[in-house]
Amino acid sequence: MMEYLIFCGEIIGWVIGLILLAFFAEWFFRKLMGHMQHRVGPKLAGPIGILQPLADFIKLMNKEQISPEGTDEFFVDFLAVFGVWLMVVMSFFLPVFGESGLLGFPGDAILLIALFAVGSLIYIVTPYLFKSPYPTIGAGRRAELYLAYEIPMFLALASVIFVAGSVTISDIIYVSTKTVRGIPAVILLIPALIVTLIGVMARIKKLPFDVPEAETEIASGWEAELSGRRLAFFNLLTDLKLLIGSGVIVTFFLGGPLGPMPFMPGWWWYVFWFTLKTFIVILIITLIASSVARFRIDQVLSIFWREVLPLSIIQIIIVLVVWGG
Amino acid sequence: MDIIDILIALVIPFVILVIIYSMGKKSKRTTGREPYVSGHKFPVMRIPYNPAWLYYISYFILWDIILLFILFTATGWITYPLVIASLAILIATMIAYPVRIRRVIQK
Repeated sequence: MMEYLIFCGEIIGWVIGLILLAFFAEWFFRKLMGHMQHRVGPKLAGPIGILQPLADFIKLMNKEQISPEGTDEFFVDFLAVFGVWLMVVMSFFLPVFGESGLLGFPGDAILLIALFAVGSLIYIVTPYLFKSPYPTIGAGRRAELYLAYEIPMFLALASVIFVAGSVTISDIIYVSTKTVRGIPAVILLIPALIVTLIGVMARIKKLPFDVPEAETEIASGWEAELSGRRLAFFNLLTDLKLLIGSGVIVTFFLGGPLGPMPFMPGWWWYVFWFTLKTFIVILIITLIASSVARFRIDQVLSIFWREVLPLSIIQIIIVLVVWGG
Repeated sequence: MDIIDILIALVIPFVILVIIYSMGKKSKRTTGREPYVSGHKFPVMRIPYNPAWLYYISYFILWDIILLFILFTATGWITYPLVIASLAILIATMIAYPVRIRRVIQK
């Protein structure tokens, strides 16, 4: 019984810690993007604005939510909570405190990828629950984007799984230490890393792939009718996706929590390396997002179908030839 | 890790999130709501997107996930009960989405 209570405490701590880390990731993204664009960025709430995302969340939670007539109120509320819950569950599979996640089991990498796919569906379904034109257009764009990035990203992650020879995360994190016919797997998988990075950026709707919510074209698109606590939760969902998406890249390509332990070896080194690598990935995403203007929807689809998809197919062929041949 | 641990890991985050969500301010207006959040008083409308397109996306995702499982079942781990249960939940969710949307659209 005592063990279950301790586990409950760990889970509660994990959830609260994850949400706070997601707010920190958003602050990191906004602050860095501000500096890249010669702006100050968040600065009022907390030292150097570090509490701004939390302040935004509290403010939105205290605003009245308004929805158009004919909205499926219950289902929108459910999806707002379900989306965040899904990201929290995904985080249980990331190897933060050790070589496997909190709920790690043989084959957990497949479930991690599958949950990521389900998370994308929320952005397509939610706008459809409002009888409003802008969210409907945003949902259509999101659906098109989903079809474009899902296949290349799946192929890229599959190539990592082929090299690892396992669908278990505790084995996949060792891919970065492998060599294939004298070639380090890290170099062999660079195309897959690029494809996954682009796919994650499209998944979390960061510039230049934020066509589903293009403010200047479709007035925030899919989230135009979200307000109050719903908007707060969907913003939190986006922050969590940034964090978890970066965590997936770290897990599949950058060795997860593995790293040198110069003194006092222990689980804190795993946490340190995983967090550091995750924020390096967020840094790269921020640099790209703040340097490139938004693509049009046709440009995005063209990039994914004509450039990213062939790159991922080439990656699979390279892996099969070099590793399997 | 036993089944109670898994249940705790799945249920407690949901309860925490529901509590946080219920702490937010609800809409008190039941009548006289604006058609849109922006305040525009245009009639509520849905642009004529073909719902079949959305069903296709749902089935694509379903295929996507099933493909993942089919591709990597050679090692025999598919017999693991948790994986099978997860797959069943995912399939049920995928089927439930379009059914639910059809009902919403018919309203």
